[in-house]
Amino acid sequence: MTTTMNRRNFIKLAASGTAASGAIAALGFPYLAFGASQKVVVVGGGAGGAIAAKYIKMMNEKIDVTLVETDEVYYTCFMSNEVIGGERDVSTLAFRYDGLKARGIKVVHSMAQTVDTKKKTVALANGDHLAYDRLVLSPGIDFKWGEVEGYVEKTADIMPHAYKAGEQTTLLRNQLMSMKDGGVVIVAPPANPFRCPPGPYERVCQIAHYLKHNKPKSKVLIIDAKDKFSKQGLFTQSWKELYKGLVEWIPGKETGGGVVAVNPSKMTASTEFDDFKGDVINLIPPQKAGAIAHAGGCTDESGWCPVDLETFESKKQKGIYVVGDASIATGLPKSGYAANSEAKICAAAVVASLAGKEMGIPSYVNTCYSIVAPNYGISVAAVYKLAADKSSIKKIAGGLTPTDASDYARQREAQYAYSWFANVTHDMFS
Amino acid sequence: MLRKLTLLFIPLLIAGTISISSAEMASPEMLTNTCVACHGADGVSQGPAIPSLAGLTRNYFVGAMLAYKYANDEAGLEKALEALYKNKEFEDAEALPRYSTIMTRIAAGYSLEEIIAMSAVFSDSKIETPKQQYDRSKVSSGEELHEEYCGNCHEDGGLSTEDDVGLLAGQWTPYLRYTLEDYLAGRRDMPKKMKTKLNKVHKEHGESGINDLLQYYASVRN
Repeated sequence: MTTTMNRRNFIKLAASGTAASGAIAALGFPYLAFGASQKVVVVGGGAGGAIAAKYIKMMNEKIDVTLVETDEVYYTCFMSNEVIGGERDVSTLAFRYDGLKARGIKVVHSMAQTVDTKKKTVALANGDHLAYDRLVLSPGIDFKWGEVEGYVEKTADIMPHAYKAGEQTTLLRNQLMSMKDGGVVIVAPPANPFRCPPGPYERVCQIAHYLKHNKPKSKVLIIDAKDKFSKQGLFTQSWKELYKGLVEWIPGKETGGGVVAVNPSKMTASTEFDDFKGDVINLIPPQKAGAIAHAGGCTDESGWCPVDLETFESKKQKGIYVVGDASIATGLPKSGYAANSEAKICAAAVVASLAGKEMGIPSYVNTCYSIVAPNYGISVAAVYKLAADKSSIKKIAGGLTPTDASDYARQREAQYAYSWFANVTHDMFS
Repeated sequence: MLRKLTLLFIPLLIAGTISISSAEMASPEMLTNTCVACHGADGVSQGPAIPSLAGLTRNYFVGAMLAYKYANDEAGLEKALEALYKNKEFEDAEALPRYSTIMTRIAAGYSLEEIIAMSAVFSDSKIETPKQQYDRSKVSSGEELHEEYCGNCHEDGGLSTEDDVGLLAGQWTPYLRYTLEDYLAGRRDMPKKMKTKLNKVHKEHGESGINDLLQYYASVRN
């Protein structure tokens, strides 16, 4: 028995309470013997990280949970397109971490910079080193600055991406407000994979809604890297029904793959063949996992993090888990609801692993609403299970709002979207 | 009364024989965790258009989910109910057709066993009445209408879910309004007795009567 004893067996033995204390001393897991708490550090307080921290604490309040998040005030990306369209104030996207603190979660506002996987510590910008038994990374996305030629970090002050909410959201809104009637708004979505696949197209609806009622001679030009996109039939339908003449979509195949360069002083976005002049340019850059995922050695050549789809443990680093947009959750979209679902599964896996138990069977859901106009919502939803060979997360059922949905169905879906927002943010921050 | 007693005691008698989770199935909480990001933590909705699930009886929850799951498949529903009724705890469950936008798409992703497992979690969750606005001047008229037309089945001012009735006082007004619109427009089926009562209150007191009822339910707190 001693020859085959691994950590997991050992903890089972310790938990059974027979003849364990001597073994504990001999093998040197003092925190078990003295009941000092096991430590989980979660990096990133968004749709994945806030949920992971909260659910780990809910599942086992004895676990010492620390959430590391740069900002004291978090702005959700969900509903931020309504701010751009003028239908919502940016303050309604702001959330703080008091609810999580009240649960006994330590919240540290600093930037996690490096991970020492041998010592199991995370180094923060404030100089602290946090020890962990398990580390959960939910850093969201970083942009690949410079991949679109000329689009570096400071270009976002002139051509906002507005793909991390807050100041960028307000900047894009303000640019639309000061634009002349008759102006051209360029929206340039990236190739797959990227955060929130329907996000750019809901944004186009919101911008078109604003233009229709305020600057009707203007136009939104979508210079897409792709030839198809999420909820395409439904968005295209709304552009025909509501925003005729206001929205033009240019698929990637017509431009050789979308915007490849920008010139902020000339306000141009260039494809392989043409230069397009915009009065407002919303360039959504190509993306990769947030910096700490790279620093922690969790990314592969794609720039994202391969994970065990049952537990969300990194395939590259034992004891480190990656959830949300940063992970490669094969089969699930990079959405806020998917991050929520992943984080709950990850929480169960982390708690089980710390207790030396097997992870139960995971269950995944995605539900995503888009508001194409006031009182006009559309959705996509699906329920998923882990494939038998565990190589993907398989859709069991689901689908889109039908294109012939009635007015009251569309009106309800818009209201459901707002209630979705209320519940998902309450789930994260209370 | 006899029916109520039966409902109370049957679960106790057969509790030991019902297995709601198996090795091949996600745990009940793992399953309900997928619901609550929309329906609210612990099944208590913070969003006025989406219903709370906390406190719904197991029969009500399973019946609703099966109605969604088999919305376009009558034979499938019959088969599922046949399987469900083998479990004595659910022999009173009904799955009347109900209108949905998104739930038909979602419910289809869960098996009967999973739906049964989820129902246990939400029926154990505590109802929390939402703090919502209402028109004080309509409350007493609404209460009278409730007592006359609804209170026999929806006991405790609409806060009780006993006998597998829907929750009224614990839900948000916008959600209840949708529900009543669906009933009155024929998009959602009602039990026979309810149909008589709802049509009667609508006929005799009109839209303003329905609104008074909603103001009353919004005023009830637990």
